[in-house]
Amino acid sequence: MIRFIFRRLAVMGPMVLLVLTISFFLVRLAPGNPFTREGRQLPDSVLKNLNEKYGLDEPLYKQYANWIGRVLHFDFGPSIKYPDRNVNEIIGESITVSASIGIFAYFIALLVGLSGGVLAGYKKNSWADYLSSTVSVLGVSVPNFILGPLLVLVFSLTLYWLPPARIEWLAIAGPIDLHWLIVIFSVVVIAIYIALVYLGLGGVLLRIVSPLTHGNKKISYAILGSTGLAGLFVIVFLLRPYLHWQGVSFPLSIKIPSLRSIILPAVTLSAVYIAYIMRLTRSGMVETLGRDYIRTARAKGLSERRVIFVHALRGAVLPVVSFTGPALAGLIGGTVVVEKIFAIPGLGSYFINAAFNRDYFLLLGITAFVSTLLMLMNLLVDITYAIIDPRIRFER
Amino acid sequence: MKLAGKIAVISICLVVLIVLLVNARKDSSPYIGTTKPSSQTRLVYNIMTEPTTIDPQIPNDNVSNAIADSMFDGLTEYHPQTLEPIAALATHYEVNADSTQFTFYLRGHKSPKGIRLPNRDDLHQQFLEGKLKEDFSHGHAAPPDDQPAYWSDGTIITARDFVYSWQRAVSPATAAANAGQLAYIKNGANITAGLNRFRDKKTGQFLHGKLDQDGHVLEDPGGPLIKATTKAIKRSPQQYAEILKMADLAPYTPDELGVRAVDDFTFQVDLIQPTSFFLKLMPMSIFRAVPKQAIEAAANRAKKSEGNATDWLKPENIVVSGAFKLAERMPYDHVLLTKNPRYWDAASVDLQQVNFLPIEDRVTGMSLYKSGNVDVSTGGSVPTSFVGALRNNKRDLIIGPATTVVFYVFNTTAKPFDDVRIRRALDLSVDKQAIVDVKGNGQVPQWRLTPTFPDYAPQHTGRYDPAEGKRLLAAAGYPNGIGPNGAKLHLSITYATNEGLKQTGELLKSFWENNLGIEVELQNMEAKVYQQALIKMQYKGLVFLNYTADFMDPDTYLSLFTSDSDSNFSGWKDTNYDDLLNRANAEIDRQKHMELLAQAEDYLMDSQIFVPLYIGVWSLVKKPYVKGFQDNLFDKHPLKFVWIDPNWQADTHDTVAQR
Repeated sequence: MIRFIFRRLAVMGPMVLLVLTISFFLVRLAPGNPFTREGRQLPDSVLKNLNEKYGLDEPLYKQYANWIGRVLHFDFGPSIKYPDRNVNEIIGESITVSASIGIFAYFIALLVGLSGGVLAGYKKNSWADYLSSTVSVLGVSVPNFILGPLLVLVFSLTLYWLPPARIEWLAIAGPIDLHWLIVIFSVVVIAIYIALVYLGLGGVLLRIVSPLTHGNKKISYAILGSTGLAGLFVIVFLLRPYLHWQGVSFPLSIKIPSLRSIILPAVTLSAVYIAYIMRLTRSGMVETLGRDYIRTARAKGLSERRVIFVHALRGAVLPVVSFTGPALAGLIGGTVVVEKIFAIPGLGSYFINAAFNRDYFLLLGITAFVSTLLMLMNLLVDITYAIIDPRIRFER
Repeated sequence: MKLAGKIAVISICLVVLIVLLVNARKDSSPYIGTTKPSSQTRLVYNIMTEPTTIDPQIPNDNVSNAIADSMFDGLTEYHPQTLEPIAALATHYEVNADSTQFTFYLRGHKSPKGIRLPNRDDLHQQFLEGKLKEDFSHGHAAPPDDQPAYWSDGTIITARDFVYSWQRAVSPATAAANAGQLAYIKNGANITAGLNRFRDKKTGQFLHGKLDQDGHVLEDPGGPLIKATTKAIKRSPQQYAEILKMADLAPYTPDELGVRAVDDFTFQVDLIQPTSFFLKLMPMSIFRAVPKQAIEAAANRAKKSEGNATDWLKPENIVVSGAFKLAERMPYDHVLLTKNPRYWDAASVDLQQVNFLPIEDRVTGMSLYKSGNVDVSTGGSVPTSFVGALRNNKRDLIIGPATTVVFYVFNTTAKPFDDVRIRRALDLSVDKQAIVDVKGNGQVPQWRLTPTFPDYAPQHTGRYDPAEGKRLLAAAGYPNGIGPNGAKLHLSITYATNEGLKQTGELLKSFWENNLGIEVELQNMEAKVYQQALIKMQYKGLVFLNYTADFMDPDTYLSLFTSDSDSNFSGWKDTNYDDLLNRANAEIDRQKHMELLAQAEDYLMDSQIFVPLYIGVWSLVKKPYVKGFQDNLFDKHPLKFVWIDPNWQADTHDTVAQR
């Protein structure tokens, strides 16, 4: 398991690099450049100065080499359109915004989708099933650029319950540098790791340590946990100066949105995911409930609740899991339409505007970030799969 | 599933019905949404787009400039209604006889000479004389001129600050988009272009004369200086090998710019040629004073890898000269400014806070306005579909004239549009009034390039005359639109993908196809692709363009079509036209300046290298309690004149432009 994770992480590096290389040349193939505009054009002398300032006057292969060199040091360069800030700052500022709304929407989608799907699948062809089908059909067929304004019209401009747009920030902390993020990340990884060990998947590791502890499991866990923790802190400690290479880091500001202002965007965002999760759960549920092992479980005299939530659900959510990984990446990575409707300063607006403005470095920086995020989420999905479905093994 | 689909359809219908019913109550208020201010000292201003930077010298878009202008003062400020220059950091100015040298006397000068610039007291006087729509002085008196102005860190603002600021503006390292505006100043263009001279190693004199193709130096002491950009020298070293053996490179450096501090409070500018409108450029953002102390401190920290050179624009580092100071900035969310207590006119600034919101979606902007989360919005922020519904019954919708001229330019280098008769025929057979009526937001039909300026009267007039158009087309060899080879005359119209432009294109197509019998093809392109086609002139027939004015003189439009203009995409070059414009701009006498410009415009219109359509309008919304904010041609509103009146009354001097 651990080996699998490391192998996947090792493959991710070259894969991101490949994505970036292709994107770099694709972006430069697009006609136009960052400095053209509608109407009055910039004088040649100014254009020359701008091209020199951003290194766009050099041959393309040199620009690529310079840029990749910087990216390997976690420096995505300046933003051409927004010269006050560099790409790292922009991603650091906007990702927390997108993530806070995305994660909120994600939980709404999981909560409503899973419970609705389970109910619909369990009580097939009942009113609950039809209601869930209705919600799913609506969720898929009403696009969010209709749903958003409709919700605003009802809840903000007619009932005056919720603000029509913009997020109210309760607290803005930071900016926090990337090494702190790595510390937080490490703690999370260790928590997952310990959980895995408890689930019996760390058996290999346990076997390595057991001669030292004479088979005492508790001491083995303690040793494993502390060595893991120590190892990660050493890595963070070693990376620290490197991450501050030429004063570059991801300054991440932590922002906490108010519940009042986040409800409408999150609901709008989650609608389509609710629909998918509900349908997937329902069909999974219907399928598993017909399986032999469910009949066995019932025959054993297990309570109905235990049959559904422990035995049936575990099999039913497998398709949902593979859907939610990329879904979470999409939700965190920002969604252009909802961000526009609700004037949310998230990553999506930057992404789309960067493409329109030919803001090369910003566009590539966000591409790198989002593609890495997507790969990480897919990895998480695979790990979750292993936990849920004991038939899946990753040793080969 | 079928049942679910039915339920879904029924529930959608129900929701729509409920919403319609709830909103069907007749909204009889003359204003949109709430009319109670949420705060008496805070203005929330929807600026629609994220500012590129808040550095006053780098960008040239209206939004970035609006924020920068609130924080940085220049020599002069825009008059809140007429946009003429009024006193800011300078109180007086002097011009020499041939208007090649301007001297500005700054705040704190004990005995300023020359012409006094109008101040708050004059605004009050102008209001009493009935020239203004409201009293922008708001009862405050102007502070005395001999008190110096201070930066927000407590240091005095002197003429040396302007010398530094303007040198920074022309420097190639700054890469300011508007640096061209400083080309009127001695050496300004040379510095921005990064030009070098060649200094003779023996005599120490600059080499004059010419450098031929093979790199031989043809010296001529009476001729022009030999100049070359560093890049050109790098690109073809052979050509410069000979001259570099005998001479050293001497680049133009920013400190050679024709500006100097005569004393602490006297600032002098040398121009390359008589420029009568130079004073009108002074309120532009790029001419405003920036804090050397903060910029250099940040640059030094950046050298030691402790942050970026642009960190001086962060709230904790910024030093300002204007009425407001940066307090908070969250990109794509808000820019919060608070009042600068050290501002020279601070006693008269009523607002304590200004919050700029970049709401990109226009409908969202209107929702926020309706619910009272926005007090005023920038020009162009009202969705076109709302304008028709609101203009007759809502008093907070303001539609004012803009300086945007909308027109279509011919590629005159390609046949058959190199023939002026065909170009004229196309102009004659468009009913511009009809197009404006369809657009319906108060646009003004246009038959020439420039909008109306006082004392400016070109002779050229146009009309809708399809019969004459047809005759001209026949004379050019296309009777009834059929060419000599039996094929219809083909015209393509290129524009950036946009609903409004598509509508205009289709109107033009119908006029030309019906009136002239030619074949018109509409070609839309993604914005950047269109811009590239434009700049490289990779278009045939007509291309859409719109230009706004940089300053209040017809020259701002006319200079677009000179031979060396960077925005002339017609392929039409005429030295007679260039000469006319040069003569006009060298003319100090305002009347003669305008006459010569009018001649130039007539000359330009005789060539008909474009089809003018209309002049655009600003549409914006403003709560009735926002005072000191009037619509004007540039949509520029110095916020130090704005205040919030919680006891506002309808029908006082709250004039809503209803047209």
